[in-house]
Amino acid sequence: MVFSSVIFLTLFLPLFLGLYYAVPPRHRNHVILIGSYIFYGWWRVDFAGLLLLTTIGNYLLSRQMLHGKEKADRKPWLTAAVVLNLGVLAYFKYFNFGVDAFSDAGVMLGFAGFSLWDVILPIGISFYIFQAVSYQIDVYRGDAPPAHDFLEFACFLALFPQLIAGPVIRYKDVADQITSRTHSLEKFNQGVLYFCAGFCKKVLIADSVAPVADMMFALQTPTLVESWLGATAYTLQLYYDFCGYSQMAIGLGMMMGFRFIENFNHPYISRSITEFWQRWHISLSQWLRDYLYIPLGGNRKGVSRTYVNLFLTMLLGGFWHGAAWTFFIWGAWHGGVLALERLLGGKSGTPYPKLLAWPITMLAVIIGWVLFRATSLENAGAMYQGMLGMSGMGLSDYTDWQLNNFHYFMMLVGTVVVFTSARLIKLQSLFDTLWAKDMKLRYQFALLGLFGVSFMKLVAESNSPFLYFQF
Amino acid sequence: MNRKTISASLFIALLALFAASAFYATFEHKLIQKLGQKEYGIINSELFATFETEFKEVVAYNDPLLHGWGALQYGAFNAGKSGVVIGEDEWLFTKEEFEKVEGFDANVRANLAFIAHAAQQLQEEGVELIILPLPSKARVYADRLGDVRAPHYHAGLYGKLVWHLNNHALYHINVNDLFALYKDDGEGDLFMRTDTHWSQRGAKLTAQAVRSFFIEGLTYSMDFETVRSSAKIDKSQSETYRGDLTEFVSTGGWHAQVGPKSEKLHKVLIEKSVSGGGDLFGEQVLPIALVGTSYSAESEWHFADFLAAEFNAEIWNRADPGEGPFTPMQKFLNEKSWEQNGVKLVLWEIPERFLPVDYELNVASNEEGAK
Repeated sequence: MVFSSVIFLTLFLPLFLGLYYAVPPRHRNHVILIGSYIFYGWWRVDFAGLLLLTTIGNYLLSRQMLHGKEKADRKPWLTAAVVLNLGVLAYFKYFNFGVDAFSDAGVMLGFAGFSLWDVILPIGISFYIFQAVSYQIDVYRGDAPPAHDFLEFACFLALFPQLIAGPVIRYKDVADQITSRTHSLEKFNQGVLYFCAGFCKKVLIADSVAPVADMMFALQTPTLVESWLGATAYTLQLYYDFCGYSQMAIGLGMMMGFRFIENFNHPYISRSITEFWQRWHISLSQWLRDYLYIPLGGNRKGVSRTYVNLFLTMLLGGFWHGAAWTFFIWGAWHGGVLALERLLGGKSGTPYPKLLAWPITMLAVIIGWVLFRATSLENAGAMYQGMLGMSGMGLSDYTDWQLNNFHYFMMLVGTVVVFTSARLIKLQSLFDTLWAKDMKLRYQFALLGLFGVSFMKLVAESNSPFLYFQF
Repeated sequence: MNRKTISASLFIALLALFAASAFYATFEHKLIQKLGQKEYGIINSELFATFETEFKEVVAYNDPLLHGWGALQYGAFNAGKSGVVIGEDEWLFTKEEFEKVEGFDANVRANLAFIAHAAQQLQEEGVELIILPLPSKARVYADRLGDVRAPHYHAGLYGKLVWHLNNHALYHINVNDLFALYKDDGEGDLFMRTDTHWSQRGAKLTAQAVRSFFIEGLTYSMDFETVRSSAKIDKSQSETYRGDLTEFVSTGGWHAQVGPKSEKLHKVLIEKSVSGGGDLFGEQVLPIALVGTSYSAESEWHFADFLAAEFNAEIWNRADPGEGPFTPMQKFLNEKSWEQNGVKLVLWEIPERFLPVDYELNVASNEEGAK
């Protein structure tokens, strides 16, 4: 089940919220747990079973860990928990890739290729495994109190607003809210505005520009115009899809009394890649910082080691996104640019000349997104060739007839909204949820009106699944 | 209610409405009972996926919202769903006449080979064949495409087909040339504006051309006359018609305001009587078989009726809608039932837009036919 679906909006959500507020507060976590498993199991019941097993396994391991009085006593259990969690992730996410890679390597060396069974990737596994790992580490470090009981822990892991595509929530950020949280119509109101804003971003903009990206990335030799159209369309699609989803998740959380961290903060106005990662998928970059970069040594082990740590963190972060060489290289690209900016003195502010900072950063981001979207290295190569004008200039016969006024209009709307400076709050207020707390009535009605249009579009068109839940 | 709570109140009211609509849809349409009639997997959530699909179809707001969005998209942006290409003056075209499908060139070669193979097989059986290569709507009405550019890889398709027929000395009628003669004579369009198919006039002109070719082009004559038949287009009687391409521009009840406007489908007056030599209760002789696509199969266009009127013969319509032109011919060849029906002449209409499609045909020798 996904948020932008008729079944979720018109059947699941009303029933869930109705039941949630009908039961006494002490039973609300039970409703969350049951609702979350129905939400996840709607896709695959068997993989809801995997989620349950992961939850039980992590809970039991953490209880064992807590028996240890000293850190030295607890470390083996932490190690076991991390290894098991990452092992589960590795199997479901990287098994097929690993087999293909070994087979290809064997063929290159003159051996016969081979294949084994296909493993289905459970949606959201990257997110809930990361959350489980963060729980184990936070409890080990004493950064977070352990869950009072299995129900609380299971609720944390399965909480459906963020279950399949984040934000990556750390237990310490929500521990007290799981135990006790406030509910009010004002908070619900904010949640509604967050949800509607996210819904509009996803359905109205992301889903409208997605066909342009799909069209261009499907070409074997895209021209200059086609490749830049495709790269720009995907740049917009990914932002509005993911940011929209995160806002919906935050909004749904608010409707249940939770306050999750913001996951996006106008990333496309960044003036360096360093700044970009402070604004894009904030929950993931914080997770990588706290659980990978800092344990690797961070910037405490000398200059060269800092560059290596930055690079490695982003490399593994890239690989987290998908089991393909394109994600690996995307991570390496960002890691390399981060290290370079560090070298140029970009720890804070921007290392680039003032007027060039934004275009350089956007170019680096777009170049990276081409890899992120490409189906293969060859596909990415064809796009880059096109972007350099090596495959012709204008729209070809393959695409000319497919593009229409609606595509162009939504590309324009998406570009104007996303590239508008965060300071121009009035222009962005329909989408800028910083004002959700006390948004003017006319803006609320406008947002609700747009939500209505988006819902109409959703019903009219077939669902397009969220991008980030493939991870 | 104030601005800190109004959205919440409205949203809650909306969710309540959704829930009521959902319950009504589920129980009124007995969705749960319907699902109970078949076995669906639970572990792989097939049951839930099926429920979701059925649910979306029956919720009350489905059509109004579908048409509302279609009207907005078409009215404001002159755009529709993927599947339609919108020209000027509300002319709609199918994307099949523009897209480059996978295996385009190989499929064209394979289908051309099949044409030669089918012709050879019929020739060996002593059955005459006349092929009717039908040009695409975008070719005939290229002037209605507006800003849309016809792709180069479709430009040569019709010429390639006709060249192949000439190369194999196969009887055929160049319907593209025929339509070019009559397209702008003011007597009516040869294709429906909102449909993928030809109009009744296009079908009638083609039937007349087939008859002319038969009389003038074949080296021997056949006597088919088993019925007296006439089929006349009556322009004074017509009904409103919305073509199949309006499925991709679903404006529903809004079409009067934003378009695309409906068309007129004229009544075709058909008269038949058994001619001398045959009787109503005797053995049916079907000397002419018509094989092809929805152009021939669908009753709206009356192509079989026009042919019957031209030949004064019953037409054995073996056309199949939705399968392209090659699969029905494959079936026709495999069944060989023309022997029982006394078929002497086969008319085979082949719309050019199906040439690049992969039909996974069983051709005796692709290499033989491709020569």
